[in-house]
Amino acid sequence: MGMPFNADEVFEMAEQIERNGVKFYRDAAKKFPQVDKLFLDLAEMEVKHEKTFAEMRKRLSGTQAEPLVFDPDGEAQMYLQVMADDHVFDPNADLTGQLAGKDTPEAVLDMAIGLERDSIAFYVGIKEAISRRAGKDKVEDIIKEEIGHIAILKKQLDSL
Amino acid sequence: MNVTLNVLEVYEIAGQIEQNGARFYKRASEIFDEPVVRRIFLRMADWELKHEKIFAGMKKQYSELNPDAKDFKSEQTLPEAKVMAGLAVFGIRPNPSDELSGKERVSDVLKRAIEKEKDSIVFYSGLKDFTPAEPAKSKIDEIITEELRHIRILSKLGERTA
Repeated sequence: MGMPFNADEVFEMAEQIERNGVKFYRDAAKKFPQVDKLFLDLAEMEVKHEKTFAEMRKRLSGTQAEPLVFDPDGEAQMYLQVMADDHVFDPNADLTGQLAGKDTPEAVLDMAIGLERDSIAFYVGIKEAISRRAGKDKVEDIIKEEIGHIAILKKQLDSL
Repeated sequence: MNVTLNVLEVYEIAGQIEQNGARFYKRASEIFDEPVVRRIFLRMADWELKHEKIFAGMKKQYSELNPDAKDFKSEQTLPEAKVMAGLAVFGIRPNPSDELSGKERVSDVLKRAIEKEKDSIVFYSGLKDFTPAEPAKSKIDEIITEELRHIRILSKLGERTA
């Protein structure tokens, strides 16, 4: 297991997830013009999430090393560590490479649903790990919106 | 196909997720000889069965309080129904115990188990908003916390058996 995260690092990872998501959806829109509006709309929503996480991080900047909530056994940390090992958080994640291997809009929609799922699983861990002051409610709102993205993607997938 | 669900159906899917999870862990426990691995998988199966009972209880309670619940189409009463139908994709998968051939390494099974736990966490996060009132909401929060704990246990087991 790696070093424990502080709130600043956790929000930085969340921003990275959103940045990866924006790039993924924009690339997907270019590749599949028949569903580009959907992908571009989702990219815009992820841009907003990235901004939200950036603002939350900025607000905490005075207490940069703020620990997560009381976590004596390191349980919240361990969950985040498991999630952090996932490719979705890697700034160098080769989502574009993975996208290149997808030949149909259906395959890309499936991949997008998987990425949204991974993001939600990580954000649930963040929500669990941070204090209300650090923005628990905002993380909850973002989770709801990401859940909404899965619904949109699934609807599109069913209509193809 | 654009499916919508009512509350009872959503509780049923949640119960199915837990039942699938229990079957998966039970099957996983049969694959390995190491007592610690078997014990942990059996314990996980047990916990998932407890969750299944909680969802069955929620379903029962909801249908007793709302006798006409099954006659309502979800979109008439609950705006989030389509969202839940989207999430159900994670819950309605083939019988997971069939996925295990018996030739897997512990690390393969743990990886799949963690993926399944993530599926549950995502589905239940949606379910919480779909659920009309307390105390069901808090119970779902508790189940989410327990599923997070399962991931930590699986991860620790992975470190131990690596």
